[in-house]
Amino acid sequence: MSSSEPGPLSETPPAALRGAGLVLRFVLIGVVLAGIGGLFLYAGGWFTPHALSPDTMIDTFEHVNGEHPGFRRNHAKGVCVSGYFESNGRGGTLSKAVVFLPGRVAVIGRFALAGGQPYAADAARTVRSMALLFKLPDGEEWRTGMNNIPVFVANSAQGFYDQLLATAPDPVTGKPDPAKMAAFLAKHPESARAIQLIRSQAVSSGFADSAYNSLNAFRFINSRGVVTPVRWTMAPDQPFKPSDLATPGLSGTNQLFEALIAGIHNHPLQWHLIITIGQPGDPTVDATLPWPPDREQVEVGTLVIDHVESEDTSPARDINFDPLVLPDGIAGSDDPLLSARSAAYSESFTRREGEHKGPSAVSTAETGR
Amino acid sequence: MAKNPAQFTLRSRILHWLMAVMLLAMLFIGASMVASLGNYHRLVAIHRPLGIMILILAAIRLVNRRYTTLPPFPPTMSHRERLLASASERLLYALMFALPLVGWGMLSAGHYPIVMFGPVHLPAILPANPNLYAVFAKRTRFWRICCS
Repeated sequence: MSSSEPGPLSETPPAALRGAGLVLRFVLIGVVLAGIGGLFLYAGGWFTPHALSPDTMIDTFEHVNGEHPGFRRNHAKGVCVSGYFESNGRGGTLSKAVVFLPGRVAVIGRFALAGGQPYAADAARTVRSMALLFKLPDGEEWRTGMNNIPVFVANSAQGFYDQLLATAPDPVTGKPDPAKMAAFLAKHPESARAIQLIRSQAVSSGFADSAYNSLNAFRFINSRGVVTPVRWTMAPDQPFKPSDLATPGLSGTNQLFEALIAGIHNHPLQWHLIITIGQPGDPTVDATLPWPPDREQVEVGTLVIDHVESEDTSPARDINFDPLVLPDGIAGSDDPLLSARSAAYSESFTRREGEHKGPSAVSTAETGR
Repeated sequence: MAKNPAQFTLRSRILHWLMAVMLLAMLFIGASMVASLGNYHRLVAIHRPLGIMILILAAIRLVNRRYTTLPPFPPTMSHRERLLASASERLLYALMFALPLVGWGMLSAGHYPIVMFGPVHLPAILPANPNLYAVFAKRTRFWRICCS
């Protein structure tokens, strides 16, 4: 590829620069380079080191929970599952996503408890999550992470960060500092309202009879280009039983997970995917606010979970359940938490994938494999 | 063999400036997205297809480079300067191919779908593997630090 063959010269070479002219040229080049370099540092957040970034978010998780290499920085304790989603075709009028064509798509997923401690004892009031990856036949994917609470506790990344720090155990007492919590609730009245709503809900007996909510709003786009604001829920087919351990302190550190595993071994578990259709004016930007209860709901299919496997062996361990991995026909809303979740999950994923992985608290022995 | 022209062909110049703008944009998007919570998704959604576009243009550019006669080096350039210019050109070509491939490989190893736009996505070029992903992710960080 050398371009050094000398060609015939039609012009006399320009005289070499000297003195002030040379200095001026170097200064100009320096200014341009420094300008681009400065803009680059600015874009990378080097001049705003205290702004909330994916790095600081995950650093804070590690600070609050201690370091647990190889595990997710949040929802650290979990077990992996697989099965399928049987679409009834009714979602097709709302979204052109392939997942809503009538038929079956493979699903892998993970049930987990919120919090960054992979060996924490199960507790009835700890938030439960269901994360799913729908493998669509055209190669697209739909990933979603849902919780068993009706609304989320924060409506911004800053609010979530503040809550994380406010609920961190005090190094002396080992318990959250009530003064910090009070200050947090005063600063974030939206979280105070959300927590009240969450506490007013009866807690179910386990993972199997919990309903899991998308919390954030999304947009469904159908083949005619009509956009519908939606939230969704995986509603359990298993009848609701109130938790007999609503007071903290379940017997056995893995009781909730063991019950889930036994349940799946006994019979496939089922959930119905319910799409709630938002009306103009329903808040899509704020995950702490519920939508009015009379909103139209459409059942679009059934999730069947028939296999359970420890994180130690399941490929689901190495999946980032980023809520913005979406197929054509589903898109994020204006909720700022979605992009923040995507960014923070990615940082957590990148850190844990490079680390040596300890055994999951919910081991292969318990999953019966 | 045609004589060396006085300047680069119009096609070469269009390719050059188009890619210059795209590469610079790519660097800024890359630096911003890793530091941003609020704009992360929007920036990644541009970063992915833009990187693939650069890879395609790099291939077109390489073909164009082979079949175009270049203007000569200015006579004021010394032999050493000419060697340096040729070596840095080779390095730039190598990077124009390597960096998009590293991104594509990293997403493949991380078990991510490689979404371009709408339902259009690319196949994985590497098996999903956590250690492989970590190596790529660290390399990317290395570049980030080097570039800044």
